[in-house]
Amino acid sequence: MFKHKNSLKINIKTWFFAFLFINKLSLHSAWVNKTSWFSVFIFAITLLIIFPFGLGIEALKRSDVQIGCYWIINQFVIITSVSRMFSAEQENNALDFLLSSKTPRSAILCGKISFTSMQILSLQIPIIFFWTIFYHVDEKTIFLLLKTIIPVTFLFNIGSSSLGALLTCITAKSLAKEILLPLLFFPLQCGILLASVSISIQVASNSLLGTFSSDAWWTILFMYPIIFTVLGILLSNILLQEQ
Amino acid sequence: MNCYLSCDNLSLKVGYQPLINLFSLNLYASQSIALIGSNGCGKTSLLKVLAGLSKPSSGKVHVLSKQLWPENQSEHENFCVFLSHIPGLLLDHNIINNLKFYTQSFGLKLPDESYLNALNRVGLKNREFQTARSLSNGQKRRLTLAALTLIKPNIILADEPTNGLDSDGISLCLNIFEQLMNSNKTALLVATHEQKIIDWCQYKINLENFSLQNKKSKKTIKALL
Repeated sequence: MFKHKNSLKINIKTWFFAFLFINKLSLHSAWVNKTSWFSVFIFAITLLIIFPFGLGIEALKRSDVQIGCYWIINQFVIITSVSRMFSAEQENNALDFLLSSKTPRSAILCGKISFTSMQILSLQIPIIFFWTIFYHVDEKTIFLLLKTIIPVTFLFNIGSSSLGALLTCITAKSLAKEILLPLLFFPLQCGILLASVSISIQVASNSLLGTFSSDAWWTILFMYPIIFTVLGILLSNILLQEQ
Repeated sequence: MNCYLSCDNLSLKVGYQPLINLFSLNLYASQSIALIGSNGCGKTSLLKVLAGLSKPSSGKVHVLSKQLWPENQSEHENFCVFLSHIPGLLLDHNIINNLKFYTQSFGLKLPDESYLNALNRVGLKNREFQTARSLSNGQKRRLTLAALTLIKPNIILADEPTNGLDSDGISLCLNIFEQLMNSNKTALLVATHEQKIIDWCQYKINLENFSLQNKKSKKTIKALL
């Protein structure tokens, strides 16, 4: 049997180390590019401030508008984070090196999904704080709302990041990727966005979007991260390959 | 002798245009092969296929006795270092972090001293906290050479490894290749136009001999004559 010196078989342990390595690498890239985190944050806060002027103070007291605005701002945060998912590695062919290395491609994809969802969460935490202030969120409902919004946001982030990772890889080689990515991302993301909005509205005004039950929306919310992460792992060899 | 890399009847296309036809190669331990040929004859595309970064239109590729293409049966996720014609670096990271990126991509954790020694060897002493973006092209190339001395790969697939290097840099590059071949039995496949590297390599392959476009154009010329 042929043996080579730098033998490193893929098992759960090596896969997990590679997954952590990608997270660490992405965190470091995010740290050295702090300005891009701050610019997204300032952009989101600007939107939070601008919306009340457009909607009027009366409208802000309605819970459905409050929730809707929160999720619209989330959408801006997500698309800006997802579109920059591989930018540090793509800039100077570092991704080619990474792909020809011993790092499993599924670990690269999963590492990117987990880091992007955490990065989005790091933006959402201060955004939620400012949102409760700017949108006059009722003191009685604030804890109930946060109790729901936090897990919903967490699932929404993982679902959107996994879908975003898949589409970023698909559109990476396209010349029109800046247009193609949101064009594919927003329609496919509709399900998880509607589920998140509907579950959040239910807490605030005890009504749901459409005729779906609360359980149905929760199922959608849980299925998105599972489906797209599994798809990403299964297709990682094809997705991260030049055609 | 161990065959590290082999390909049988490999054909490549760019879009619908055939690029390389029925190319076969065996790369053994401690062997160095120079891929030569004019611009656009498919040197980079071939290296990318052998590195597992892109797929061929037909043919078979085996790496370290395991099939890579058409079906990836490799037990190891990957096997070689691919040096692209632009040094692959994380530009906003400092030099030491770039070296850590290289080694940790191959599952290696080394003490800081080894990184400093490697930098010292390639003439990047006392620059460990400088960002990669601020380095010149030749220095970036030297950084990738420092990574090679740390990773000690089985196979090096290098695309124009001397781009941006001065004559001292080219000698350093050859020195590192030679040392890896002797001490680590590293096999080397280099796409290059640099005469010094071509002369140094044990074997030369002119890819133009496998270029379909070239054959067609020759036939066309013959037909016209």
